[in-house]
Amino acid sequence: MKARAALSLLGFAAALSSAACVHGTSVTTFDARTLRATITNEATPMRATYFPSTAPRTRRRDVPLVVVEPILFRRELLYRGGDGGLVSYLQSEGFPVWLVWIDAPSPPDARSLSRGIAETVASIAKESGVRRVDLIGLSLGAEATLRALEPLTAPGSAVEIRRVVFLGGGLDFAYPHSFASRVASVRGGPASAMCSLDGDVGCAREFHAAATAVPWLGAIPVADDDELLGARERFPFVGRFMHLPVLFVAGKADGLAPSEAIFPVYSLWGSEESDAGKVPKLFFLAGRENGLGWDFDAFDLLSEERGERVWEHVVGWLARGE
Amino acid sequence: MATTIALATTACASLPVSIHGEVAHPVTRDGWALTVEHFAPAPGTKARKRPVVLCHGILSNRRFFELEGEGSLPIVLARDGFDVWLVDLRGRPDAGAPGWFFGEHTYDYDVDSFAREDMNALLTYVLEKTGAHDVAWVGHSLGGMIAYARMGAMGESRVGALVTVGSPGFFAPASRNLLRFYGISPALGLLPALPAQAPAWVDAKVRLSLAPSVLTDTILTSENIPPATYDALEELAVNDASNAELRQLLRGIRRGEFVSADGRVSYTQTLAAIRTPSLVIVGRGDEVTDPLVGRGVYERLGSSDKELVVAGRAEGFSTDFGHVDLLVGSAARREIFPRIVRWLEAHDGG
Repeated sequence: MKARAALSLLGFAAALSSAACVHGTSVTTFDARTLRATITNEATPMRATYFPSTAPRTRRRDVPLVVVEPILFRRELLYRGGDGGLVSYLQSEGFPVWLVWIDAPSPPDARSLSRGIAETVASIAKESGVRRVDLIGLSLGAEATLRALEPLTAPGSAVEIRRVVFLGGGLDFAYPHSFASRVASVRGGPASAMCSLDGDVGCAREFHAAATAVPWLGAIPVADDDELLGARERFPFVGRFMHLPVLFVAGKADGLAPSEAIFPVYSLWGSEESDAGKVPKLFFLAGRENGLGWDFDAFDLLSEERGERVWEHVVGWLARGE
Repeated sequence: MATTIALATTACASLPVSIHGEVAHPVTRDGWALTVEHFAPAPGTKARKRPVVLCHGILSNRRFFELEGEGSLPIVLARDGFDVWLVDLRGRPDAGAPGWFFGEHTYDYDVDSFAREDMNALLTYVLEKTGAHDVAWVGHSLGGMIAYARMGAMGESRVGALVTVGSPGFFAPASRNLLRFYGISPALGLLPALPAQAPAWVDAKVRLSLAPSVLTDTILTSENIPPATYDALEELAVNDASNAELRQLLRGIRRGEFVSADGRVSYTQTLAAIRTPSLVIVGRGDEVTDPLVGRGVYERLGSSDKELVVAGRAEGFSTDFGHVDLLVGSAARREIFPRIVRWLEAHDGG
């Protein structure tokens, strides 16, 4: 693990502010102050920041876990200064985590992002000295993550995706009054703009605890031109994922990426296999009906206040691949 | 004990059910007496062309639609000029409860019996009484499912408008609660029916919960139903379910599709044959019919005139509606009933 080895040297080289190495279109920098490595993709405004496992050595996992930022929420929600949030939780569970994020004030559409994600994942694998990675797409980052799977799983790809998780990511909005159609007028700007649409007040409709959630809101990217088409038209390549294990998590009370906007892609996944029972896929509704004691909204899924109940399931599912 | 009695007395005294229509008992081709309760249009209202039939769900009966008293859906519709017919499917006590092991009728019926025989008899009766050409069918849960089956697979053409509320047209493997129904499967072999009525009555009277938690958690529990209404529901609107109807649904849950009792016909696939204008309503918090199922039904229906309503906070409703509170409680009266009324007005066969 090249990156981990490099990071372990950072304490020794703390006097250095940074070091850099170049891989094709990507530049990797190591920040001695934060002990983080960052990959900068030169073609698209993508960055990937490394968060090493914080678990005891015996519990550390070998396969890097690539997490694509939620976009709808600011990525800082995921690590909250290093001692809370999803990324910190995954680190404590033994995962070497790479957080892929967008370094732009206004994120581009999912198609453009997906190219950057695919290139960045390839750079991460190269930097880490591994071929296999696990991949998680969060919230509005899920669509670009899904699109990135097409090149990442193509013949000749330098990377092997071992397992994929989509956590609170809406992928098919081709139905009346969907989130995508509701927020059409505020695409390409701050997500807080949706909080006053159609009589909503401060996103009270979207979140159980709006006062807590709204300060974490990020942006809503511009839409792909085919956004209101169905999954079958937009993501036909998903049908051939007959052997790629996938977990879809939908918050029962998530009206932004609701179950009905996720389930069509779950249905489509590996559908070229005639026996659906053979396709390694799972759809999980995060709610009371599955024993979580709470119906999760979009923020709950990512917040440290409630998310851990769901993250346990994600980690347990990822561990099945080891 | 004194506290219990006091609570029970309070509950009984505050039962909101106080509406009654004219009751009749049409008989099916296979000899079952059903119950129809008629609420005529209120005097002076605009005459509507199409009578409205309201059909309850599994483990329930027609009193389900009466729990809101003068604010109940049949009264609201009648005040809007509709001719309303509340119906009981077979196995409901008002037309003579089946015997557990002996008697003229026993619990030998399944969901297909409701679709093939009961719905046929009810449509025949209502159309004969009204002289109308067709009806608007409003079904809650199973009450909508039998319409899916009959209209999609049995060639029924006497329904001119269809409203389903929380009616699964297929089963998604996403909810542990539905999968927990597997757990009660062995118990189905011991008795001819799942006894839900007596445990619910006991719970309403003395606050002693005897019903399997898989049923109460999934179907009955709701924060949106006032305690007095919940008591009334348990006391009046809960019914036993036959072993055979539950087995048919379990077969469907295992397959992921709504299928005939013998498994040969997929009523999920025959949804495409339904060309009738349709309104599909599902609650965001519904643990029986998640919105993902509602969307799937909506997309499968062959109707060119169809509408999907997801009743949840993000969609502008005051709450994330569950399975029962879609039609029971003040939120339903304020937000769901008007939707149904408006849609029926717009689809009155004119």
